[in-house]
Amino acid sequence: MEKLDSKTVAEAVREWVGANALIELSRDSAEGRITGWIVHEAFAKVDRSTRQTWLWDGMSGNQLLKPWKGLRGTFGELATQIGLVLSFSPTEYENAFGESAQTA
Amino acid sequence: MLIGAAEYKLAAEEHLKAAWICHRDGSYLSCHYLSGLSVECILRAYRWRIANEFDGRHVLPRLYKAAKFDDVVSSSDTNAMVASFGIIAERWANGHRYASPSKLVKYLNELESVRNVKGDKLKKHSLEMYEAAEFVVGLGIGKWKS
Repeated sequence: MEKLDSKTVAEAVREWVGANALIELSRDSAEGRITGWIVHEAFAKVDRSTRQTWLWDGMSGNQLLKPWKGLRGTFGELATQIGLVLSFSPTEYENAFGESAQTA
Repeated sequence: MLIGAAEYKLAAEEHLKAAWICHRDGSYLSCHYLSGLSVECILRAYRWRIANEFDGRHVLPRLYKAAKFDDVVSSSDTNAMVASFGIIAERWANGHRYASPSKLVKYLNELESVRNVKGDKLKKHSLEMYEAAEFVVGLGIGKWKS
């Protein structure tokens, strides 16, 4: 199977979430999956299960996010090379990382 | 005192047990803190096997990557890991050891993580934290290779 580049995934996600999001995605090891996180205000007040559905299966768009086919729809079977991707609102990010998403 | 991988793993198990005792006895703030701490310990155990140096930061998502913890998560466990690790990463911070129960509830309300919870929000949150930690730590211990 073709090897998926984490930058390619990050660029696709960037198309969905826009320039204001913080995206950190990389492979932790050469043979490991791509993991990381996405920080965006659109995730505030949205439960984790819905966010994951948006991320993996897509969504029709809303005031803050563009329509998106999801990681599975965008990368097909290559998406099996993507592992844990967390989504944070700016408030959640600040708690988890001890820094503002704007200054990260 | 030098703490190595085996000690971190043991600490993860001990803190998880203590978290349950705290939850059972109604010490929900302590359960919250110990649940997150147990996850930090299992991540540190895995990280130590890669690089045996102490990283003073307590940022769980970064520790997860540094520990290459995803390597022990199978495809079928990924959704459960996102759900469980997501709860811990969103809601826990090392500084919460200084928090009061009311301060923690205020913070959880800001996150809306206990939205629509009727009754004791901290009790519900405490159980969710414990169960999330139980999954993450349990998976880490189950996949541990001595």
